[in-house]
Amino acid sequence: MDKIIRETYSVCPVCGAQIMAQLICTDGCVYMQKRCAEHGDFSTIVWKNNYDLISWYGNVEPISDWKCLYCPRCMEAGLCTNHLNDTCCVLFEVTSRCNLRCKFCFADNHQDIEDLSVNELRIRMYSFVKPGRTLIQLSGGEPTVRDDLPEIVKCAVDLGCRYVQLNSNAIRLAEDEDYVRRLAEAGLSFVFMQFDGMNDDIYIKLCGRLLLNIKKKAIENCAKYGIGVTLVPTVVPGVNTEDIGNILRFAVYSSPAVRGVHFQPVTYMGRIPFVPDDSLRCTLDELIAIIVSQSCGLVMAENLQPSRCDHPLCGFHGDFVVQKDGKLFPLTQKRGDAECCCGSESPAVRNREFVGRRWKRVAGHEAASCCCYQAEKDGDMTDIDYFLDRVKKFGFTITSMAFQDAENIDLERLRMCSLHVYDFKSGKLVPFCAHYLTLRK
Amino acid sequence: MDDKEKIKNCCLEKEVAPCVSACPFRFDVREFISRVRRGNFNLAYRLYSNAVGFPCVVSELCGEECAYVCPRKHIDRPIGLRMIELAAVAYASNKRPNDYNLPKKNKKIAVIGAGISGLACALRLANKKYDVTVLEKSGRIGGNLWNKLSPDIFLKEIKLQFENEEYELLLNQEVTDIDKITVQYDAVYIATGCKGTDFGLIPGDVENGPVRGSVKGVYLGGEMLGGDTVKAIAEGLETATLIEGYIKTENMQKPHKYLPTRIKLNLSGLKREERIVSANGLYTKQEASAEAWRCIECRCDFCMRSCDMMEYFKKTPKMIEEEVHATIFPGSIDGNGTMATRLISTCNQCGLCKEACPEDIDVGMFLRQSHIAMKKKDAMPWVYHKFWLRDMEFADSGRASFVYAPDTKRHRFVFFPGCQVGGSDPDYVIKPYEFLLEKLPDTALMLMCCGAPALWAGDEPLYKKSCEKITAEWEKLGRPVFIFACPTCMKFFHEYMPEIKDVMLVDRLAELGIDVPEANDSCLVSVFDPCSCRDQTSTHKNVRELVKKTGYSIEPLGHEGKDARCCSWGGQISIANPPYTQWIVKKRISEGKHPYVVYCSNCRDVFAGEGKPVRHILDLLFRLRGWNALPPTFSERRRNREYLKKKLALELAGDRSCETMKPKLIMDVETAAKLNKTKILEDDVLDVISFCEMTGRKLIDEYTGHFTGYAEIEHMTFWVEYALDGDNFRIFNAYGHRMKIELEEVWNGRKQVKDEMR
Amino acid sequence: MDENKSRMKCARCNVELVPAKAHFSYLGHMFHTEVQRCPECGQVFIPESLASGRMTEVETSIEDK
Repeated sequence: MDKIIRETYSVCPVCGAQIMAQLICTDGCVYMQKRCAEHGDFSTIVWKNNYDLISWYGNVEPISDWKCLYCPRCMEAGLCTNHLNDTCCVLFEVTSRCNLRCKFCFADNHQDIEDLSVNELRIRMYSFVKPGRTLIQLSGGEPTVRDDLPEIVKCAVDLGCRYVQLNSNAIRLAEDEDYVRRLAEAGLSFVFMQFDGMNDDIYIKLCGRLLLNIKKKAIENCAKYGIGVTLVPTVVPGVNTEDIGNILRFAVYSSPAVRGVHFQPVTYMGRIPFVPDDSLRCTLDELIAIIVSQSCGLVMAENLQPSRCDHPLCGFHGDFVVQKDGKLFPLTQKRGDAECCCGSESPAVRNREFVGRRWKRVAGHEAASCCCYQAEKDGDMTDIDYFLDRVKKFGFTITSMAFQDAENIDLERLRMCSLHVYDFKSGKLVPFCAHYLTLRK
Repeated sequence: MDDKEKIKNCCLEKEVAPCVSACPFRFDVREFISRVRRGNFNLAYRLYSNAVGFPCVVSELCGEECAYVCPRKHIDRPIGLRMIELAAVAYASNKRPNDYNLPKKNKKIAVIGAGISGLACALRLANKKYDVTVLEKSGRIGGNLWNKLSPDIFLKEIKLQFENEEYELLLNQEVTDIDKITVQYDAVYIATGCKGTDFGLIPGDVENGPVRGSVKGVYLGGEMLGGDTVKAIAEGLETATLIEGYIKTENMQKPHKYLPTRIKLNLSGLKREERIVSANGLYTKQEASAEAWRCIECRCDFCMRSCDMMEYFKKTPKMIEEEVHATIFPGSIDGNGTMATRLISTCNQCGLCKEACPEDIDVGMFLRQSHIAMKKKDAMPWVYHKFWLRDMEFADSGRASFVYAPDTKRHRFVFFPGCQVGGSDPDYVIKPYEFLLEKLPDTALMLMCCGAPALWAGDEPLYKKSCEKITAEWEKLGRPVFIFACPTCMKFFHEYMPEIKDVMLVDRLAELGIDVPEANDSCLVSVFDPCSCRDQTSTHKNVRELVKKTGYSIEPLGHEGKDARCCSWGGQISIANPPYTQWIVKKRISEGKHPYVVYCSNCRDVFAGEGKPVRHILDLLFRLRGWNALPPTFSERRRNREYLKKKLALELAGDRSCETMKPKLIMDVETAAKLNKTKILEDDVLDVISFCEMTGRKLIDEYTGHFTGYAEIEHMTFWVEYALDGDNFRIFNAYGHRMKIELEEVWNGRKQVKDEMR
Repeated sequence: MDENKSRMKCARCNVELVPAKAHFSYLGHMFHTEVQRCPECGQVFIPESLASGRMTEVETSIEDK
């Protein structure tokens, strides 16, 4: 019996018109179904019922009385008055060039567009940086193709950015140690490193190159200069979904150089090799189930909770502390509103502070666990000082962000987005999934 | 039917607008109007075309049943929907029909009669790629349309709509042997038109709409059943759906019988707007848009317009019921949901929704019942109401509670001020009681809580206990009439202890002819009726007359009397939802630019806390606090009530036992502010000190001589730094933490007994 | 109270406090740390700096963002 779970709005993947959509539960899975008057019916899988969807939604209210007719076409106007969240992070493209040409690239990098000068970039950053309150993500293309990246980092720091993040494939970070040193000195806070798997077949399939050793070297170099690294696998069914457990174990083993893993189920935006069908989608609940089953007890499902700053369907988060024996001590538990302190700060601010604290490295370079995995006498997590120290140094996060594409974009989610892209043409901040939305050709 | 059932069955939220209900196509007029307003004629046309099949024909011939029922007809003129439809047809730039890219279906359908009804049926079935054959007796298609419209119009339209479809058209084919047809085809639609033959297949009486034939697989409809051309088209479209249903399920489904809409509308406040008239029989684009803007978008939203909570959360009663249901009966693996707990605790339970609803649905009562159900499952966060329950406990404790019966044979009356009035200002109890004793010397006094905080916390057993206690005292006093100072007490007594007769203090004072002192300023004020008094029309009147007697002139508020809004106190929601509470208070204050006169002490304290000039009616009658007096802190409220009990016990009953009561706490202003900010009550501080003094478990600072000690109070642990000062205590600091100190029962063999208050 | 200039004694036992382990619990987690305690009756002293400092940090860590 089909059951309508949610009424919302989406776009036609062909013409981009805003249309109504429904999330319908049928045959044990949930699909987004929508109809364009011109182009017909579309259906995309959004949830595979490994966990209960209604509980995952929590307190979020569905769209009612929706008034924004232009959504998601806000590249010129920026955020509208219907938008529900402040900016937590700003994605800032410092170049369109790249030293790879991956199969899936949300930014669809180009080699032929000229870079803006550092000064130009500084002027742009000045327009949106709020001193003490901005987490800026330097992105592209591949930012490290710019020799002057450390200068850009320094600009961001001088303008008052609270945290400066680098999104990178890390090839240069492996091959140019001095570059890493300069980045650290300029004040780079942490690196989000593309990391699709633990064997090179995967890298050949997705990026066309052997990259595993390069990634490992990059982690080493960053560790040397105290820059925290978070591994970012793009999860592509049929390519690396079997390798997730290995990625996790490697990440935990590499703590505290590695501060966590941030999973991105593949999204069909930017450069996409084909229009996806449902077998090529990994839903959020499916990802959690894979993590739990492949991690062999390292991670439990109840320690991965829906994202609270963004819409719950946009991702999950789990906080842990790496113990001396290589196990993960969970901090996140499902909790009711009972223990919630009514803070006066917005969710975006709390989120920004929380992730900033977790992803930065704290001085002190001991290894999280003994190099041969022997069960060493575990540090005492009941000791307040050891607990706090361990949390600060060996904090480990398992997070995920499920970007949306034209097939499955849900405006109820989009209006809560706190990851905003700086649009160079209009000078406005635009929600990530609206900025990179790609229609079928 | 309880309120939950009423929301599910009687709520009119989903009822369609009258125009939709009257339309033979049940056309989604609201969405159509919305598109035309935005000037999106293409999309508007598409919606219309999908609904009616042949938009050119229908827009010319439609009898506009909608106009007969459009509510605007009572004010100016109904919406000219047909004119708007004509405009959509005229201005849509892309009228090409949809091309449905579907695989061919292997089923054959016969349509007898190529009138517009048969063609409508054929069109929809051809859209779905069925194999359709239309058999027409005459040599041309169109049937009765030839008598109604120019063939230029309808032939062109038919051609356009069938542009992407294939079907077999057999002209000059009169069907004589219907059995041959029913044998060859999987389904048949007979639409032979006005006075056409029905082949004897109509069973008995003809109901409205397409009829199931007496042979399986046969439907009949259109003008042959009586009814006009437009209805015939609608029947043709509907039959296509029924035939598809039959083919898929082998069941001959009946056409859906829609009940007339039950919607009720609020038309007050609608201004006259003349219908847009076109110069030449066709609206321009702007004219069509303008006429579309005249549509009032009929929906039953009385409650949504009145209720702050529904506006804030943007939820209708049906949505609220669903969320609450999912919260109380979660169907998930993860156990208890927490979705609607905050919502349940945010309702002021002011009764406004019931007042506004044409079906008398009380969403507040539903939420109260839900709260009780959740509390039974122990699924409500303790923190929302703990503070208030402790306050109720205090009000009923020996320190504040007091029953006095004057030494007369019977007591006709008892003054029951409630637990907050004395906390706001002890004179609110003392002065009226003095006056009452003067005029009615057999008036008793009961200082205790009516139990409302328990009900608002969803704790039904606790509330019942409170009622039992009160009823017992009532019996002991000889069943007197209760005189209430607090409207909430009165409201709950009416609901749960209706056998007790009562009257509001203000009404009694007015009746007894109290002398009203003249105010020494004259100004314009507004009377703010408390939400719990919305049904007490005589009280509304009495208060206003008393206010006028003081010399103030009254400016009415936008919402008052039956329409009174809650000041935010109702439900004691301020801990469960601080931002919402603040929002309401600010809203209430901004709804009147003059100072407020209130007659509920909670309204007074709420408004004074946000800086609004406000006085209670008792302030006016007994010359008490002025317009800008600040509300008392939580600790001051306790002190006020203790002082009240002490004073009355002494003066009325000669009871000195309270005199040796609590020691005083002396502290400087900064420390007092710090305590109020962190919600550490002086009572908590005193509890900590008592524990330390009685058990001896305290520390001493060798340099300053100050003591420091701690005690666990409910879910917190509080620490206090203090020193003795005669019979009292001097407080230097207080702080707390949530972590619990685990006390070892036996401390390394050196101590045998745990520290505990005896 | 100026925490630099204070010397706490247990008023019941009239003995100076010494550093010792004390145990705490919160939301299902157990903790311990060294605080001043009476060596005879075990009474603990938690200064405001600890309550609003490390204790609050731990409480926040567990309570989620």
